Amino acid sequence: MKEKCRALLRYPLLVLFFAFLLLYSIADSTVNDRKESELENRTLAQKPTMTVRNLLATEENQKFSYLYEQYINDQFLGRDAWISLKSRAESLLLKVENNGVVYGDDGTMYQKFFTLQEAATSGLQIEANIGALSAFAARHPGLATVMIVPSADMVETDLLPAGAPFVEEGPWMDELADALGQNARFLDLTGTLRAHADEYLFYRTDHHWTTLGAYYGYLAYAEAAGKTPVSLDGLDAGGSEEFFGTLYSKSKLFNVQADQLTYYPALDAEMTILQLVDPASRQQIEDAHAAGTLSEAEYEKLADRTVNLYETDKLAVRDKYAMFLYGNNGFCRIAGTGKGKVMVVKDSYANCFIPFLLGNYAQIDVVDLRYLRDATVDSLIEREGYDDLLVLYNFQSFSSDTNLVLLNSGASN
Amino acid sequence: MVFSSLLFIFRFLPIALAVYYIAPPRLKNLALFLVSLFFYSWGEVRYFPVMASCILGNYLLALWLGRLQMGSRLRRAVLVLVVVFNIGMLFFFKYTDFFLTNINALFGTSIPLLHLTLPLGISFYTFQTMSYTLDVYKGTVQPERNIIDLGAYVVMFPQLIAGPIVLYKDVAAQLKVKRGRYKLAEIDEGIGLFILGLGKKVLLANSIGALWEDIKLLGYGGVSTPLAWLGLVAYTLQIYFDFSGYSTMAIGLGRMLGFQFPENFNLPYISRSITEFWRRWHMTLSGWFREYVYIPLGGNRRGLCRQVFNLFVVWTLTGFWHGANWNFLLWGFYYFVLLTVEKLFLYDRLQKGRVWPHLYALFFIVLGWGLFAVDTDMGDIVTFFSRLLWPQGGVSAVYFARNYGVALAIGCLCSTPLPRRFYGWVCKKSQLLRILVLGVVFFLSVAYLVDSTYNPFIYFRF
Repeated sequence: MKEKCRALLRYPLLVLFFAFLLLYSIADSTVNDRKESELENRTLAQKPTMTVRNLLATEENQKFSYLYEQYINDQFLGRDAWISLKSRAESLLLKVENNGVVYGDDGTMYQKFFTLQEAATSGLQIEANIGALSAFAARHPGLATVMIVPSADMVETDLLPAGAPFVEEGPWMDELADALGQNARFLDLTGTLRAHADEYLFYRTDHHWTTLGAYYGYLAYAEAAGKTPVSLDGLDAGGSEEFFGTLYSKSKLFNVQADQLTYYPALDAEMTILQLVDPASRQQIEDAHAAGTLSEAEYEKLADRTVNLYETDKLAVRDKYAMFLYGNNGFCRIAGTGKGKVMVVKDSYANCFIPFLLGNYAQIDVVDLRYLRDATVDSLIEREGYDDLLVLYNFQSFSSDTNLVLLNSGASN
Repeated sequence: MVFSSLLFIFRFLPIALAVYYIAPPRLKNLALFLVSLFFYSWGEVRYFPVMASCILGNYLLALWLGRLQMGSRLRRAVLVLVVVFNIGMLFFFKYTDFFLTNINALFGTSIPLLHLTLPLGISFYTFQTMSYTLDVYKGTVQPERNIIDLGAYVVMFPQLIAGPIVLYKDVAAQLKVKRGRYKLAEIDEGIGLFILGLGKKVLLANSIGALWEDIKLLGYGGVSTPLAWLGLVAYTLQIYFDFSGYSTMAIGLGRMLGFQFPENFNLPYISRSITEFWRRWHMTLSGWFREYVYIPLGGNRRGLCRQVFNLFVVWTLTGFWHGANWNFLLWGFYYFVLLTVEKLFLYDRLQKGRVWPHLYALFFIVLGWGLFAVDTDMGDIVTFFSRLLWPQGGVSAVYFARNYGVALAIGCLCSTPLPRRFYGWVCKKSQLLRILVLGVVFFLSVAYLVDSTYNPFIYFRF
């Protein structure tokens, strides 16, 4: 035995490698699994149970072997530390991107937006979306203002790595303007934001614009719509100095700089998140609830609820931008202090923008086409008789969103 | 399950090695057989019967061949059966859809495709089992009576998925050694090789290969000529480190189990001719075709015309072996032409040059990978090659040269004999330094595996 040990010690690599492999494997399989990763802002794969179905599955991502491998990867012991080690090695290799995020100067990060998304059938999604928007505008001439926010890479051009082939958004903006023609007002914010390019318009670590960026967008809108803009002078600002956004969650850069997130508590109002359930279904829900077949939790989900514009609890979690407007909901109604009614059809860029509208309208209806159920935009327009309608998207989601066709659902043209 | 995964390194490997090392000497082959069958069945349990019938079929056919007299007519008939059985299996899973598609296109029929997933490593293990039964036919190998031993050879996990293509005669003797099959020194050496192979695959191939993915995403028609070349150089490096890294891992694992697998790559990119390149690239495959196709056809002993014809057959098959697609056939034909030209007159001249033969060989090797990499359709090949060969604008190479520059430079450096010399020097210098170097490579590889969005394995589908 002693002899054997002595022989082993002549091969330290062998001893170290096997010892590490064994101990780490045991430790890895005994340490408790995490539900989600704070660093990556996502839920982690859990241990799958073996079933006949997943053993014999033909789809790769339904196979037991696949699920198990995901589980091992997601729950690997010290995952965050290993990720940070990789990030350091990448910076030694002078890489300027990781996991679909491009690094610019001054700690900025950009979505690696080098190609436009293909549509499900043929052509590009953006072409289909321009078509959908122009058909919508033609049906309601003079009503809509379309505002497209360019990507950060189109504004902060000085900070980008040389020659990075980001999608040129200008020509598409022009094409959209042409397609809308006289039927809608078009606001391309590229020029507006470039005029303030040295200010803090986009988060470094998140794919959204900042509240300041949104304010410049608002000024442009107010001018075009003939409204008196709200002034920020003398308004107290709240927020967080420790915001690490979605781009960081993807890239996981080891020497990231935190963002500041700002909001104006004074610009607040009551917002009702409405479940646009038609009367017959509503009656069914009430009946089911009264009879006790619908659980309290389910019933609450189907009920309207009234909240404020800012969910300040979210300032304590990783995805702080979700504090605006309670994230993305299908339909919300906000009571403003101005006059008239406006509908905003939007993506998440509008979430920090909408509070500025409070003084300009009495009623602000907010529609997110991705989650709108049991109602069409046309039927809402008919019912409410809006004075203005704002379509607000950032370029990237406008070019890839597959729900814009819903603008025309229920319409005959 | 691929070697370059956390699942393999931190679950399968410790358990498999423990089972193998702890098993009593008489049961080592059974242990190896069972853990390998688990490894094989992991990704696709439904193909277990394919492997079982492959082992059983060749086992019985070889026994039968052993009983028949040399040169008898029946013996030849059994030989045909051997080839039909093995090639038939490969053909059915790998090529049926290709032929159906082309028949449909040619005759306007609409025979439904089978859409089969390729059984893991089938291109490799059918060649291995064939080598065994063909050798039994030739009388150079005795038929194996113990089916466990034969099974352990066929499904042995290190070489199952992607080679090296180990011939039965390479390992037969070692399979019979029960006691003292492996020495500590061999295991230690094997660990070193495994880690180096892992590094080649994870640190070099994956981080360089992402560039080719970018090209595919941007579209072959959109890239500028410099970017097209940069992308192709990246692919050239990726496929080498991917495949040779995998072979090195396999050889290292084999060594840890007490087996000496043949070398598969010997710095192919320092070749001075295409002939030399194929002596250095995927050596066990070219060796297989030489031994079981080229030489039986007569090799170079039946005159020049016949030799050229033999080359044509070998290279058509080599191309087709790499994939059921026209571009692989074209790629094989490309090498047939180059090799024939060298055979006819160029090779002798290449031997006299110093620098230009390197440039010549590299140029055609890289260009060849273009045929290999663009595997969508012929139109894309034309588009991409027109970008390569006709200078034109498009997406500029500046950003990609910067992002991948260091990785590419390291990749080029690692294609030369320098790293091998460095590792040799390190091993001689001190144990500590060796452990340090391997430790860095290993920990970095694990870090890259944990945060990997891009970890393909090009040869996996062969």
